[in-house]
Amino acid sequence: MLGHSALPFYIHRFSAANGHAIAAFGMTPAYLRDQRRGFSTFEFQLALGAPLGPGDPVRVRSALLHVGTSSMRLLHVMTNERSGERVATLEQLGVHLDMDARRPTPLPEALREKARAVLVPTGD
Amino acid sequence: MSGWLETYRGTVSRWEVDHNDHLTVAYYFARIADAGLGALEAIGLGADYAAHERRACVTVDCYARYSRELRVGDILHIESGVGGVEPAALVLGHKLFNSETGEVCTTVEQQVGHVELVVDGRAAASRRGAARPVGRAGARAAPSTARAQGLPRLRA
Repeated sequence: MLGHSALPFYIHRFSAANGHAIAAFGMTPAYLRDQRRGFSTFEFQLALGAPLGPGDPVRVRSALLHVGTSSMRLLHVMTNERSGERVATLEQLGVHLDMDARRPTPLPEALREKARAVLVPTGD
Repeated sequence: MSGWLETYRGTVSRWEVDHNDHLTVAYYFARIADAGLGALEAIGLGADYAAHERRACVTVDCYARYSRELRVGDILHIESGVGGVEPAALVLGHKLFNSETGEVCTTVEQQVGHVELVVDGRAAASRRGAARPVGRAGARAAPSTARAQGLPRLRA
């Protein structure tokens, strides 16, 4: 309505970034398909900054902040690559989902180890 | 507007379902955006207000909790209310229900900043920069959520 990017489109881009971020520690599309697993979000904290207009180039950088038994916390930061301004941030909490039971299920230890190796310390 | 107001009613279409076989998170936000506009309309801050006053409410912050899945074919509705009033911002609360079961699936706190629209020939407003918060200087400078401010959480 105001010539800005609409809310769902921020989330679509963050979701795409999340797919790449979790693949970096082993939750790859092949793993998710073969093991009947998913990443299911249970909490979002979205903050919007500078507005985005048509044609603005954006980049999303992502970090894994926490990994638990079945849960993960990631931070995604979107910047306008033309202006350098921070456009939006999304803190995303999700679980390793058993697609058949429709319930969280523990991450395999090997995968959790890979996740720990890419954790970004937050100081909390 | 007092209490909760129904601001959205719809269904989950097949193309909105992701590889987890449930409603994609972005499509919740499409519905919450619509519900937010409905709530703003109900309190006199809708499209007519923006057109006549050259001021509008833009989303600056959202906190969402997803507690139950919605799957293809599910019917849903949203109830919205005002959870907080600040000098240049409002906190809208939304409860998204599975209309079949009556269960709350998601709650959202949406902070909207009240800004002046830029009048330069384009219908453009900025969350930062050209647009000015209305109410007190700098009110938009540091967006924060109801959670951050310690306001009570909206309950289902």
